[in-house]
Amino acid sequence: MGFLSSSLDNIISSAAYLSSEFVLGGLVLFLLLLSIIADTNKYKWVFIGCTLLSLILSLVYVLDQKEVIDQNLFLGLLNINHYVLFFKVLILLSGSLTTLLFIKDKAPFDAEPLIFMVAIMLGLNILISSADLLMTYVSIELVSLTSYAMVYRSTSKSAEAALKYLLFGAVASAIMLYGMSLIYGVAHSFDYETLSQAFESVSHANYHILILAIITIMLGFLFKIGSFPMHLWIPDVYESASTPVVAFYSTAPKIGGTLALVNLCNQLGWIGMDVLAVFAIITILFGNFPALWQSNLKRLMGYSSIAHAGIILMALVAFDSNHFESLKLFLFIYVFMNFSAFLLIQVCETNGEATFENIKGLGKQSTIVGVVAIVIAMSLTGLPPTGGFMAKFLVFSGFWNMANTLNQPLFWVVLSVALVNTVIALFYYIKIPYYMYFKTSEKNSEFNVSDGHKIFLALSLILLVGSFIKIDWLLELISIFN
Amino acid sequence: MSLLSILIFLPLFFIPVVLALPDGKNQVIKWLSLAVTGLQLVIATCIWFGFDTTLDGVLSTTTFQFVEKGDWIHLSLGGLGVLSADYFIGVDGLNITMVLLSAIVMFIATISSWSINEKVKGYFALLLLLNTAVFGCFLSLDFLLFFLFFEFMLLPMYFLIGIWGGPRREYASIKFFLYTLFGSVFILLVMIGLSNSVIDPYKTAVEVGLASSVESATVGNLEVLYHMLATDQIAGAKMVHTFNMVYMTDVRNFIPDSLLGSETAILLFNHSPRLIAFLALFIGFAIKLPAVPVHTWLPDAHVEAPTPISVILAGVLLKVGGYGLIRIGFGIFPASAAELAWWIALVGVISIIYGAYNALAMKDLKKMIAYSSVSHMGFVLLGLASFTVEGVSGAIYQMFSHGFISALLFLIVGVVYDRSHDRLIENYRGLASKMPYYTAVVMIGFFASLGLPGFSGFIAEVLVFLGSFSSESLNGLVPRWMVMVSALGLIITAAYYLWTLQRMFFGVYWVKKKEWDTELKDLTRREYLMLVPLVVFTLLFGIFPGLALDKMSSSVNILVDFINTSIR
Repeated sequence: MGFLSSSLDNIISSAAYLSSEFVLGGLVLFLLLLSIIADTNKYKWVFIGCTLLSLILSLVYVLDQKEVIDQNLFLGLLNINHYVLFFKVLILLSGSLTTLLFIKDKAPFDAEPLIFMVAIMLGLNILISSADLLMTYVSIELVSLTSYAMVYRSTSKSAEAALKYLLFGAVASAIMLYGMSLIYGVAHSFDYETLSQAFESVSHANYHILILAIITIMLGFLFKIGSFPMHLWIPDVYESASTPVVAFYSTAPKIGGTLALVNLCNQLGWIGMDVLAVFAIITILFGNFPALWQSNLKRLMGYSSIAHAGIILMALVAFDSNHFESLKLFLFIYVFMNFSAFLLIQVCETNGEATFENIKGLGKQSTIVGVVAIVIAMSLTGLPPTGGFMAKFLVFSGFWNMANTLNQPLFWVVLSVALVNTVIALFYYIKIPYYMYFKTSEKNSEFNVSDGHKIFLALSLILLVGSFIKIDWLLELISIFN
Repeated sequence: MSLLSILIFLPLFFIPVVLALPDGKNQVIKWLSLAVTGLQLVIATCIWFGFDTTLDGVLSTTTFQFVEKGDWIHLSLGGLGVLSADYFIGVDGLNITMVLLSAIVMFIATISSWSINEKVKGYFALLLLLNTAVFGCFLSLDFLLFFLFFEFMLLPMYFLIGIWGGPRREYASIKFFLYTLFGSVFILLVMIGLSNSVIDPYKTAVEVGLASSVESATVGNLEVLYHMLATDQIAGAKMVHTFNMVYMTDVRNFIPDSLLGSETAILLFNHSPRLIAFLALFIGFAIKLPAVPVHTWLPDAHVEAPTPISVILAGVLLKVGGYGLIRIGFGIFPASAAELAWWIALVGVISIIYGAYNALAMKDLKKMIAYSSVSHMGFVLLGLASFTVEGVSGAIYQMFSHGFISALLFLIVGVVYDRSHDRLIENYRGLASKMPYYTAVVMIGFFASLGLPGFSGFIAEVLVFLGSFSSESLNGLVPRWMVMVSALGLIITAAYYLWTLQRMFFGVYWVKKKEWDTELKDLTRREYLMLVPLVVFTLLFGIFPGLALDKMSSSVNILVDFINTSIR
């Protein structure tokens, strides 16, 4: 009885730490009900307003948890530390920005993608705080399954992409599950803490099985981060899903997958970092080279997000508690950078599908669109004076520091290749301003930018340049969570 | 008075003003831009005359002049320590000539831009942006700040060539952008490495608790700090990593076990990391300079760029490469620079000869002058590689003088191109009888460029030859045969200039198309306004070289001493 009652006490007291997740769960149910009884188009603002308010409420609850970090909740299923809090904020931030993008999207407003998005956020929040393999698996499935549905429902032509996504996702899950079962077979446990103890006393024969298991589990996370060898679904999904959905995909699941990977490695030791470094460089190359031949901006952003996944992996390889600030800063800036890019794509979509053909001459028609396009292209490439430069600089700097300590030739090669890739990246990013300024549109259609879009474009401009000039302030903002 | 900040940011401040003006106010925009560059010229002149030639700069933060220093970035990165970048600008003998040169060339390029009548607002906004980047680049003493401005020059140039350029402008502009970015990636790599290896002694002293503030830190505090650093007593988290280029010149500021520290035992691909770092910097700046074989972007960019942009490109932007090599490459890695001196000189000699031969073969007048730039920039490398006072002074003098001469030459091409929209040498003959005053200016320009005594180019080349010739006996870095081979370049230079003069300007008047006859008039007042000052400056600095040599002498002396001590 004593065990049962103390367990119950633990669960009940743990529930208090999940207020922000309860808000998200409640929001999903509420929106579902609302979409049944109310006309989605008519009550668009109610949907969006409720979502935004709830996300803000959820954010307040997250910030409220600051004092109670490093807690084991639900009998060790979840663990909340200050990394988790910061990443939750990032996920909520990307959710809120996505909601804003839903307001003026080309695709007619529909409640379902919005609902799926909140559900994914719920899944990601649990994924990043999970301290147990089973919990990890359940939450990653929650994320995956809703993601497939979200792609499928986002536009009328995304069925093919959704199916591809589903197939790749199913394989990734299966591989991951296989790894987990191997681990359970060796260590007889799922929770990270017991695992790490089991690891220390593991026999030599079983050690290789564990390595294999960890790599397969990593593959599951790499699927979420969107890096080699699990990146193949990205271009199709990015091309066919609606802009807000893609913007969300390019940020939140990557952030969630990153921290899930960090949590796992933190507990089980940083094994296989050389492999991850090689993956990082292949990811960057696989992102950058195909991007050279793209003509659709969203598909281009897909490859760009693969390339950025490579940088995230580099940050992970360089990761130890020393370099965590640079990973956080990178992701923070990455969120703003990507949302600015998708905001720009959304603005361009008023002119038809976002292809190079359709953005010809837009810079000459609207100054703000042109200027923002230049700054975004520079930021994605990683040129000063933009936040993108600082973000990459800090990651590379951390990587240099690690390479200097370990001094393996592999790491120097990785760093050099990553740097040279900046030039390749420039070649395709510069095409955006290139078509906007150097080409003239054959169409005589009027290109109008709504005031709302103008305000947000201006805001993203200020953020991107400001995060270069005063990166200190950004760091101070982040250090709230330490 | 924060003169240097005004110099850098004045144009930036006026960009919103230019953009806010209603359409059709083209004249207002032009006069405004001219006023801005005119004001900069006044400030640069004040700095020139206010410059104290006894202070040497280069290696010590206290001997820079017109210094402005303030905190810019201060990132606490946990165990990685603190990353600190300053807003640190100042003048010494290495950049004072570049500042004056930039101000003059920018002013003249603005006058030359009067003929731009398309998308005037955008053009002048970009020109002002470029202006800020150029001055920022020459004046920054903080590597991050330098890199910011260095990269920032690319974007306005890309658009200025790509939108207002000639028929193949899109190809030329992207080639320019990619090439230079490729170079700056190497520089970025070294910057990452240096910022990981160098500490700011004053701020670290404060962080460790030796001093209460940066201002109150004493020499004694620093001695203790350096001892602590050498004996590995400072925790990583307490180190304040810096981008300060002046601190980077002092080996004591390097963390002992860091990759780029002078004591490092680590080898990268069987070479010292410092050597590799210098090589990376050299490649980066050689692309900008440009040196053979990474020069191929230059002829394309020049041919396609509109005249004023060519003027700025040749007159100022190329000098950033040479200047960066001196200040950053030689200043921070002197021993590695000396180790590679033979190769630097060889690249210089090849550039001189190859550039000159190419110029000889060109049919397009502008392309010929572009290749002559490659050839003349080769002298900069040759002079620098000698590491003698004469050689290094000659290299800087060559950059200074080439700034005026190449600006003059590209304006000359612009004159004929504006009238007939054709630059092929073979399409003209006997222009002297049709345009006598123009021909006179062309002759002055050509003779100045081929190094006739009395012009500034002569002084520069003589100094370079003196320095590199004495190098073999002084420090054994540059062999004499290289100097002799490069002297051949002078003959080829004379050949292509004189041959062009003969083909285009002498003989019986003839042009390819009849309708050009009415177009080909002699110089206008605006053109005199641009050409005459440049002629005056080349003559002035050719007859009184002391005017500029005095400014740079003490800085060059200390730099050369510094490098020669590090060889031993």
